[in-house]
Amino acid sequence: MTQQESTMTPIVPRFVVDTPPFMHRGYTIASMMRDKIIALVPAAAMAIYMYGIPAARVMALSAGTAVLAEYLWDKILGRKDRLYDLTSLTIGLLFAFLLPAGAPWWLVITGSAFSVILGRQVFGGLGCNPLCPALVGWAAMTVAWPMFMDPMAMTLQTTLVEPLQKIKFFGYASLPEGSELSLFLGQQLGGLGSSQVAAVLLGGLYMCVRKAVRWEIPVAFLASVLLVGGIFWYLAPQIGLNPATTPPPHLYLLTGSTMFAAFFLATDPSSSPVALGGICIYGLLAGSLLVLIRIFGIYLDSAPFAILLASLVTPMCDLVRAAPYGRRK
Amino acid sequence: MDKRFNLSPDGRHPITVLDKVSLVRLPLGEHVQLPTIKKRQRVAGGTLLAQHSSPNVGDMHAPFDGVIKDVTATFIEVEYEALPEPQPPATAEPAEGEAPKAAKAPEKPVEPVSPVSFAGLDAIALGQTLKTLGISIRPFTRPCDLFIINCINPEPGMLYTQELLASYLPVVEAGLAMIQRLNSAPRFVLALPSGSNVTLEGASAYHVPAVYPISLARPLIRAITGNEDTSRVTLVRLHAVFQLGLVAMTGLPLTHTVTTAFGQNFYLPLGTPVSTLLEITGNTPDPGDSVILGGPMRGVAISGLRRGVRKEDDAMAIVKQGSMPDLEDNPCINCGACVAVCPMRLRPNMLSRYAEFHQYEACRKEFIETCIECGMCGYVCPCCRPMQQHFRMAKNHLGLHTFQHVLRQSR
Repeated sequence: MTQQESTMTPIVPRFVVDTPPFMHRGYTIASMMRDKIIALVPAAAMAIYMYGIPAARVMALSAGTAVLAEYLWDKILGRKDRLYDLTSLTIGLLFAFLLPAGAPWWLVITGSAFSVILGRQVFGGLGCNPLCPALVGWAAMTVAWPMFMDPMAMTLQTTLVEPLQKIKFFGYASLPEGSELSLFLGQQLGGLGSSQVAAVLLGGLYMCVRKAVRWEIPVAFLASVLLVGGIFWYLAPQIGLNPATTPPPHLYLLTGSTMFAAFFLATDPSSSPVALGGICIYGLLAGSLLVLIRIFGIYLDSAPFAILLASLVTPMCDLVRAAPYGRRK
Repeated sequence: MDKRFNLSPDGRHPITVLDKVSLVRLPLGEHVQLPTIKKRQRVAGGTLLAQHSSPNVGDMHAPFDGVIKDVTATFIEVEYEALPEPQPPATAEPAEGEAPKAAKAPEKPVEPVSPVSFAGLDAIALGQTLKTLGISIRPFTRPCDLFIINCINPEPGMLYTQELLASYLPVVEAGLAMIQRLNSAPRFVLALPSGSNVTLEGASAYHVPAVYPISLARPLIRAITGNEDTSRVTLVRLHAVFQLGLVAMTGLPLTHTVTTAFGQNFYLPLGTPVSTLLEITGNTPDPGDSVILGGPMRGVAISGLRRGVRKEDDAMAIVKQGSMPDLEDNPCINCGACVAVCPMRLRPNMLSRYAEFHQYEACRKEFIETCIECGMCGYVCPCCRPMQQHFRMAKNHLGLHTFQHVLRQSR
């Protein structure tokens, strides 16, 4: 029954002595990123359908550059690379989705490398980025080469409309009759993937169901856009705004990259708050900024800037916390 | 929620009585062996082997008649050997003697341990007596307004509570009666998984949905009392009540316990080596697996199979290599999964980061002493961070381990 064991014999078999828990949900960073990439597939397919090979070219170039940039950065600094968890690939794809399909190769490469290195690696790599990395690259490129980042200028010979420009300069009534559905299905000029509203929504819902992102963030953000947009729409005549260029709230969701920002950019884990209270503040801030920049700002698609600015107050949002057990007043 | 977190599994899992264990290793822990205990000495079942300096922690006894095979700094090994037949003295009365004496044996005769009577003892004397019989009495004597007996399996994979209530109810009743002598709490409550129809005289039943981590002290107290003030509530596990009941029924020292080992329930002598249980259940761990004592959420991985079962060990299991992602020293990505599941409403993301970078005072400001080490944060962490490791390290640095010790005693 019990064999004689001497203290001198080596312990056989060798066990792994780990710390608890010895159960895991089985959902790791790699699974999370895999789900994000799966969620990007519908929008990518729609982009290729709409813009053809140029869209595929931009996405491939951006994703490849992002992975290479992370690899080289880790190599130069002598760090162990973490390419296996697919985070840099995701950043590259997210950045590509914000670009026009006709973006020149050097812009894609520069922006993608900027996203990974300046957006994340300089802060210490995974989990240390204070802002969404893809947005850092996007902001740098938008400020440096606004011409090449403009979908209007980069997409020639198209029948697609640029709804944001129409709304801002010609009033929302200038949009064709019944254009909501075509906008929803992505019939608009914009970032190659970020303007595919329906496909992005589909992917976003998938991520929420798989818990790759916290569903509270897109809900808080989109609800805030509707709320603040609705207030401005309702009050436009009273506060001296041109009612024609102040669109009804649902148009905020259907135009530009609002939907993409809600599900893919605002939910970047390390630059968004963790608890529900903080998420509500963050969503309200980002939603209000989006509406304000669209109405008063010079940038047409304000969603990326709104997220970027809201991410800056994430540490403050994280101060809002529930009292721990037994400390509720 | 993970269906593995269901703490009230269907079906019967009968408790097998193990009476053929021939060798036990009693882990000493903080117990100090009696100077009279020597190698090759013959002992009767229930003989005192080691004592604990604290009046609240029970002493340690030989689980059966046998010979001391080994005494080391960490354990005492006892091998079963029947006591020599008592030689009836030539002039003795018929062999009905309560305490037979073997006068002609060449060595000093070993007398069987006789039961202690609890009649007429007041609470303090009763506590002292029970300590010498191997019962850790602190949770039972703690003054309180509400005394809860936690009849829910403490962790996933444990199966014994419903069997104890089904097959050993008289023992539990005896344990409850003893608690009522030790503790003057006005209310006694049995916390039962919903669907259970067990009733016990002297305690009201309260049903909760049996999903981990409700089985841990503080979440259960919140579920039952509706508030989070634990200062006047005592909670003990059914496991401890059962052990108290065994002693209360027999008057003999605590020598046996109940354990869910590798998916089966056993009533076994204390100190039964893990290797014996592995053989009985027909399990063989492979290199790279982990063998854990306790539940999968809060247990301890052991490095060898010689380890014997302690009083508080109520489960053991094998964790196969590859059944979960390896723990890694990944950075926190601030995803918030841990914050969402923490039953104590802590921020495990910040706590583990502070601990990781040795900011222990910041851990205190984040209420680390509230952490019950339930393991939920590590379970959901997509970065597979060693959360409990960080928390325990920080608690040790802050000198909170005594607090945790108290917690473990009372769980």
